[in-house]
Amino acid sequence: MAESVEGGRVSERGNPHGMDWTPLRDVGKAEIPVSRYVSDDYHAREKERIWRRSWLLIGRESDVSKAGDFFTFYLHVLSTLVIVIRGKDGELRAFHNVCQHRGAQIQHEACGSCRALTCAFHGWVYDLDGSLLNVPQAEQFEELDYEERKLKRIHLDTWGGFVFINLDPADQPEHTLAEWLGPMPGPLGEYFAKEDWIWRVGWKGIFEANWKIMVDVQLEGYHVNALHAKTIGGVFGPAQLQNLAFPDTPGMPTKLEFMRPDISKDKSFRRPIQTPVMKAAVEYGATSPFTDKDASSGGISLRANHYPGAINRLDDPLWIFDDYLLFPNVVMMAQTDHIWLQRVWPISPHRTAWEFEWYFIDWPKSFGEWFAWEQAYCHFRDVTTQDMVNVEGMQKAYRAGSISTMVVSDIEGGVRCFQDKVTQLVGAEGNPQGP
Amino acid sequence: MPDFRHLKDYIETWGLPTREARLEKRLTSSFQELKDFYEAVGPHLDEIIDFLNQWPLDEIPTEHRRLADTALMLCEADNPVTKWRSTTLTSGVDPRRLEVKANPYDSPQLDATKRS
Repeated sequence: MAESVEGGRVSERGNPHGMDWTPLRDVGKAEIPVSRYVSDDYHAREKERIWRRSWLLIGRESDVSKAGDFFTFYLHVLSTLVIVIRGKDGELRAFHNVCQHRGAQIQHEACGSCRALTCAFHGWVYDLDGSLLNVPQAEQFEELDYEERKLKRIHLDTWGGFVFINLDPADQPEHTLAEWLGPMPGPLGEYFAKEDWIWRVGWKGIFEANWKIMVDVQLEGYHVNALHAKTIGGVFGPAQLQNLAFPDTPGMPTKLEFMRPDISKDKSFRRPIQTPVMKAAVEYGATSPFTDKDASSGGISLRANHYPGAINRLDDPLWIFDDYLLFPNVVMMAQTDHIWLQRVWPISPHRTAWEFEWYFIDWPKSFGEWFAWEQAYCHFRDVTTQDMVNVEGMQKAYRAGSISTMVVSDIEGGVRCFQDKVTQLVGAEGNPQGP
Repeated sequence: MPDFRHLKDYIETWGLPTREARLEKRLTSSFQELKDFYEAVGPHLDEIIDFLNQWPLDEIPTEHRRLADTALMLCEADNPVTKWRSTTLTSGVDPRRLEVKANPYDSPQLDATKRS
């Protein structure tokens, strides 16, 4: 099995925001077998041990603020249709989006608002709280227990205004959501929950790679200067990236703090090209963290200032963003005025549905701000196309047996933390009983 | 008002109203065409932004929308012209594989479980 990070970690306590954080200094030399990315057996074990036990981020509470507001979700890996809907009593509930008559899918829209949930198959009607209200020609059923035939509930909770579900069939999941996200800074949750975050754009796609490769690639900055040489090479200082490990918490194994290079310490550093378009974007808010903000106001936005400790823990002028892994599948990048949210959803060991959302505190108010946003959009889209070509290539190599194990360095500590958590839950390769 | 009349031909050709159209234009142009556009309009970028900033974003007069879209096209052309010397990035997947979602719940679908 993979060696745990715990042996080598250096604990530093006394963080003013109540979070015990552990800088990763020595992630160990244990190799990570690639079979976990390609094995049908491992995939089958992940279904029950990860996907049916984890808190999964599926939306924003503010999108379902009024009674009857809903959104739907489909978890490919467990073939599970979900609906999240606000009741007349104000409570937010999640149900299997399935009629308890003969199992037809009830709501087909991605999101919207309704007065009741009506199954299109035979017209059964459910109230917003899931109770069965009306069955056409009910007298034709010999015995119909309305209580027994109400919609099936799914565990739901919220953090930072984000809606999470948990498909654990037990009365209560093994961990509460608060326990799951234990190391998340409290002020960050408030920042996310209290501000009126706007979804500006999102991407979706299906990629021929294991879901874990697509998480791995977002948990380290070691690759940036090579893979992204023609887009954002030189933007981060790999030596300044701070990896934090949370090995004792159930749902947040790692965090990575992205920093600009410290040019005073690294004389060999070559400043990335700042094009005229990037310079213009900087003048109007530099939506992209990949533009050089040193010359502009930079730093923390006014809104974020209301939540000390939410971001940039060390108040470091080189700080760019905080990169959290919310196990198993969310990589959340918290920045001064916006959030990037990547989620991956396995379809098979070799295929993954991918989503990427951009949330902002505000809409641009001037053309200059719009221009800065457009620059960020195009620039980061190009970066992402590089990540994707890489993950598909790696999956091919893993399937072909062109590599059998991988090794990770200290500055890829996030990958180690993530894979340790996978091993802890699913077991090592060839050992279904666990580590 | 600054005079952008000398950019008229570029504005007509490159001032496309959507991100999808601007990306498509980049991908279907030759590198020389993209570079000519970037080098002709790029030096006027600050001036264009200053000019358009006199209105709130949603009140920019219709007759100046194409000028705005032309400036936004510079974002699409920036990496290709300054860093790749090509209209495409050989180290990336086709950017059209990053499909733009209709809403946050418009997730990737394999079948008809959802309408966006």
